[in-house]
Amino acid sequence: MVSLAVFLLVVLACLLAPVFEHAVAHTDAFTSNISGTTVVDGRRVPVLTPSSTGLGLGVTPIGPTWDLHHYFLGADGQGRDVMARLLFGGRNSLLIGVLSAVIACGAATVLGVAAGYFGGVLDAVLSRLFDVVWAFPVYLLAISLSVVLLTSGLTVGPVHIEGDSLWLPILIIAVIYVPYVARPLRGQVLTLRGRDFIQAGVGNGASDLRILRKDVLPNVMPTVLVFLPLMTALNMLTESALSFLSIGVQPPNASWGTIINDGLGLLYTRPMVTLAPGLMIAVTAVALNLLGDGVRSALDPKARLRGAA
Amino acid sequence: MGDPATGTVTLHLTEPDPELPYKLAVPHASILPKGAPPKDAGTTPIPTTGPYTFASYDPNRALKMVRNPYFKQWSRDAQPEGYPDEIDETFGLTVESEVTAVENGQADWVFDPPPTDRLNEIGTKYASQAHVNPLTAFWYLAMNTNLAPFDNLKARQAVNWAVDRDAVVRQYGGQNLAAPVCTVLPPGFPGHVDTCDYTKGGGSTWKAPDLQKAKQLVQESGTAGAKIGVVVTDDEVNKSIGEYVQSMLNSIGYRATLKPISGNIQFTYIQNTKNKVQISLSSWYQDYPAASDFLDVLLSCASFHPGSDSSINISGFCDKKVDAQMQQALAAERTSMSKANTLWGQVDQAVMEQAPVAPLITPKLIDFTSKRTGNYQFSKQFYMLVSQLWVK
Repeated sequence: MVSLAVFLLVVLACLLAPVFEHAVAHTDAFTSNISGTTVVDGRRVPVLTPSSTGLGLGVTPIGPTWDLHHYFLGADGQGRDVMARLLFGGRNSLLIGVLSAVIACGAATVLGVAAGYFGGVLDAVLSRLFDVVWAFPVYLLAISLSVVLLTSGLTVGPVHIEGDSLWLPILIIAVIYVPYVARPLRGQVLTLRGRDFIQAGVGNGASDLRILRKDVLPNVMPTVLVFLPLMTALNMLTESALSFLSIGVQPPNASWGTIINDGLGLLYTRPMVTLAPGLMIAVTAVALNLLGDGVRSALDPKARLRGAA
Repeated sequence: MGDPATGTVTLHLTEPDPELPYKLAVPHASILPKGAPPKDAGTTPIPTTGPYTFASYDPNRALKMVRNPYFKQWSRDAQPEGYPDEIDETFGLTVESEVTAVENGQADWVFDPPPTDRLNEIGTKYASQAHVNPLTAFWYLAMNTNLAPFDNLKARQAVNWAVDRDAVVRQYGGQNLAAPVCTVLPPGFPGHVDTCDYTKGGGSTWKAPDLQKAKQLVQESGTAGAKIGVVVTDDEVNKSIGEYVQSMLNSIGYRATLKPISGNIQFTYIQNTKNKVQISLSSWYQDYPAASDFLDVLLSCASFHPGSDSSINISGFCDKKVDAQMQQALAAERTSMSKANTLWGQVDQAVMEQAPVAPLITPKLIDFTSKRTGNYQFSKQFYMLVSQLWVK
């Protein structure tokens, strides 16, 4: 329950990003504000402060003011409010994590169930396809696809997805993780297929569609539901890695990964730019993993019994 | 023609070239053995003259130079004997590590520009080890005059009005490391005239951007809403400036995307018209102190080679009238350098009226050396003279 509450709190905070941007911080999270000023302790100061000591080299963004109205977590190298970007970045990270998990789990359910239930050539083809995708190191495959698609975008029939669209990382991450869900589901369906209640359905002349809908899917859905939060956490981490490498979410848009990347050049002077999104990723990933465990315990009575023993 | 008997080399020119002494004094002209291949010799160096010789070289790891036993100093001004017995260059470190190594006394010099978040530390804690020198160079946005939207003069002028040069100065490291510029020829360079066509309120030096004027020009040009790709190198400073340019373009009505690519290929990539680069961040450092080295080299019709990686006129700017002015200035160099420089100043202004580029800053160079080094010497042409450093 705590994990669910933490996750919902993060989601709620991120959903309120535009409110924070306009009504609280009065800033624009996506526009450079390098020559801008803000107020600290009643004094107007530049957002990017030039050094005035020694040789006067370097310009340092304002650090955390702990004042929600004026750069609460400080500014990044573009003079943008890190707190506002953190919230907007969270929206994108969560959106990509959740949507890619839903797509991956949805596609994996269809393909895994089809492969396990129908068997034969379909199973052979789909299983080899999973093997091929699984044979690549996940990040290497994601990076390769991202680098190629970032420049030209993705065109499927009449649909064109721009290189800087959020749909690109969503689809790439979904595709690479389909086998991770589909293979266990296929194995589960293979086991189910030999069970008496399925055979009874076949013996009674029930159609494949009816057996799949009434007998197979209800039995695999708990597994899919357990996978969903776990895959969301995993996909969010993958997105952060891609964005950190500048091949995920594209500027001026933000995600927690891009903000960490933005903060790399400020590690010595303004570590908060990197620490804040890193902390948010860690908290959200842990919450989602614990939530996944919770869902598994709730949906699998045997696990609860094992836990009690 | 070489004459071994008298030890002279005679050059026959098809026409007078007042810049020839400059060209002979810089690596444009190097004395090579007769059979030297007319192509890149790779990692096997071609014999030449100098106080040091390569003892070993691995492009991925290190270069070791030791004294050249055959070298005899014939002119201290032209080519002095070096002080260190050995010069070791190690490759592959991050700039952060390079700075730390010099701070810890594990290395004597940082080759790359120090990262911006270490500048304050260098300028305060290690001020005595930092050497800042102005450069005759400029950083600029090259706009493709043959591709929409920058085939439209008003669109190019809009960028010049909109770009906040102070913001770029801050991103480069502050006003002690860079200054805003409005012209192609850097301040203090032969031919430079203090003028600024694109500054709020007018005047001869840059004051502030005029976003309203820029937005108005974008609307008048009919290019509002155009998609623009901003190509920059993927290092910290260039990427940061690129992100600012993207933001600036979006704020005046375009839809800009940032395309950071490796510094190993960006310079040739943006030159090739096949890559359809609309706007890119580039820089130019003098080869020798002549106005033609900026204006003629970067913006003449002769420097534009469509479809080639070697087309240094990145904007593809070719204006017959301006080109004629350049020819006139080149011709004037034969009789009066001062008259020629006046003409080059006029060329600079004519170019900026057409705005194929948006000059941003003129940078300074910071050399960060270790505590044990001394006798730091800086040449505008060759920068820090490594061979002249003392090491305790």
